[in-house]
Amino acid sequence: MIINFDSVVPHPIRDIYSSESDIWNNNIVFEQGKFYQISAASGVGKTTFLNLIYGSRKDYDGSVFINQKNLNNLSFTDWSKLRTRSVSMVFQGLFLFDNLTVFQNIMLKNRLTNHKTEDQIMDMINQLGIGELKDKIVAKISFGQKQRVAIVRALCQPYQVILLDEPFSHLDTSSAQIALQLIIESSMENHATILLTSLSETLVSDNFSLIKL
Amino acid sequence: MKKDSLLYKILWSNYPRTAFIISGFGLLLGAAIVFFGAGLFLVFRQIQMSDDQLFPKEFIVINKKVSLLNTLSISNSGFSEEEIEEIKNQPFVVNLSPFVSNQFKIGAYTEATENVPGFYTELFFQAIPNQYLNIKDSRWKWEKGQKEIPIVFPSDYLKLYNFGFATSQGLPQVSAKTIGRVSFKVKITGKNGVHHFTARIVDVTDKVNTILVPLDFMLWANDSFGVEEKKSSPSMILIETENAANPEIISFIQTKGYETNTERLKNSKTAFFLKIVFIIVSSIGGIIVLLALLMFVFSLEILILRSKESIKKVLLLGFHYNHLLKIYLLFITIMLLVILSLSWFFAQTGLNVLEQFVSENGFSFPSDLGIQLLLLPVLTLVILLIINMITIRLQLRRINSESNG
Repeated sequence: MIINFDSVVPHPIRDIYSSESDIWNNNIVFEQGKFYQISAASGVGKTTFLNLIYGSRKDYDGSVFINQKNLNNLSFTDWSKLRTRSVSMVFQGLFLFDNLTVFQNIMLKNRLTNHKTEDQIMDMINQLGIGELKDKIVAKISFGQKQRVAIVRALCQPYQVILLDEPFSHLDTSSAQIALQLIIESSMENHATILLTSLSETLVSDNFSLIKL
Repeated sequence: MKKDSLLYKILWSNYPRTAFIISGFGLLLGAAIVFFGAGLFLVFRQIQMSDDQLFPKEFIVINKKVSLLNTLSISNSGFSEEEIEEIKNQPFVVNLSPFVSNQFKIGAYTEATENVPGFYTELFFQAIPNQYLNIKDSRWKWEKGQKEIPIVFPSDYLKLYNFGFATSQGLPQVSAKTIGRVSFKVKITGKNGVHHFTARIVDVTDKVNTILVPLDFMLWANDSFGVEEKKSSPSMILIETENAANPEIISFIQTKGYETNTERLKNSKTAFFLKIVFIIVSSIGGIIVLLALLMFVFSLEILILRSKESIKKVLLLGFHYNHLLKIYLLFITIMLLVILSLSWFFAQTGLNVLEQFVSENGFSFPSDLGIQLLLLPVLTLVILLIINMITIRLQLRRINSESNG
């Protein structure tokens, strides 16, 4: 999946974006199977950038293309298909359901996509160290634990691009490394693109290219 | 179902329980009243339909009041052409036809046998065009040369025979069903002498007190046997009207000193009264249903608003809003099915109780309304589902466009 940003400027940051940005008001292509780390301070549009690709924001000038299709021309049905078959995302706000358990939150997505077996899901949960929390209501676990639930959920679908909005912000280094490894392995299997946002310019891994916002 | 169980948990987790329960009870009560009203209406219609059908639904037969003046032959009990014209011009008259009377002498007789004594009585016949009659018996026709005259007999005469004559003379009684087998001889005396025919009773009616014969026969017979001194203006007129209970008819009849079959008018009044009762009962039920439905729809809106954030999240995960719509509708369908089934059950039970009460008081009451009465809940369910579907779909689309920038 090739993603192309053509002179895109989101309305909320119209007056504040940096002219040195690699993305805003520029032409940039994100290629299939490559990993990108988009780094910037708060408030310059990291989340907005991912939301444009995910279709949850449409307030921008310029054009965004996925495989040469202008995203503004997609119907909700198209988006629904994209979000279950091609584009996955770990939201900064996580968007988990507090009244469901850890496992139910993940199964909600997996039942829609039928992508993983329960054993495969348990395997990922255990790798991320939240196996014991499987039956715990999400409202009762920490934000760091929730981040790991959201990562597993995002991997429960086929995808060609995965959007990660500061996914390790509340994880310790070791947990973040395990989570990153899981994502990289899964993305390599899918031959998918990774777009990861972070506050830091230090690359999370050598496989990633740094993009400045 | 299992696939969507988690979605159910998310979408219905904080539904306004009290509002749903109250609107559910409202729907139950309102629908039960409407179904009961409809049941009564169906019962009434079946009774009406099982009534004898010889005449059009809305008709009356009028005649002049018999007074001392008639007895003294000072006044004529027949209708003059002017009077007929005046009646015809009344706004409530759709159509009318005077009864044609015989202009010759008629005698009915049977010959004595071993068991049955012979009898002779003078009779009269009357006729009106077939368009005012609805006689299904194929023998109800007469052609020139035919010796058998089909006749329609008033049921009061039958009662007179069965409970008066037959019992006192030890003769067999005749039911309305077996009367088709009864025939007697008819002797007509007129301008061409004496002629003999056979008369066969093909039907009975309680709607008019006269002996009806086909108009074809009457015209031919009056022409062939009629004598001048027997000629008279018509004494009875059949009026077809939109509504026999119309108060204008009663006041016209009273002003003019005419008479009509009061039983028929009474039936029409009862019908009119029952229609009003049905309309009132159904309207009350309808209003309750409408209010309950409004509350139901509002409860749904509250539910969806309360779940708004969850719905946004679900849509962002890739669920289509039609998928959510299905989940809401499935739940609502089950709920409405239970409510309407209970309403139907209560309405049917009410009708059964009424049937029992009525039959204990000596009236018959058609009770096989099941299928007909089922149509209404099914129709109500479909309408309610459509209304709910439109409401939910609108809400979901709104949330969807909010969550997609």
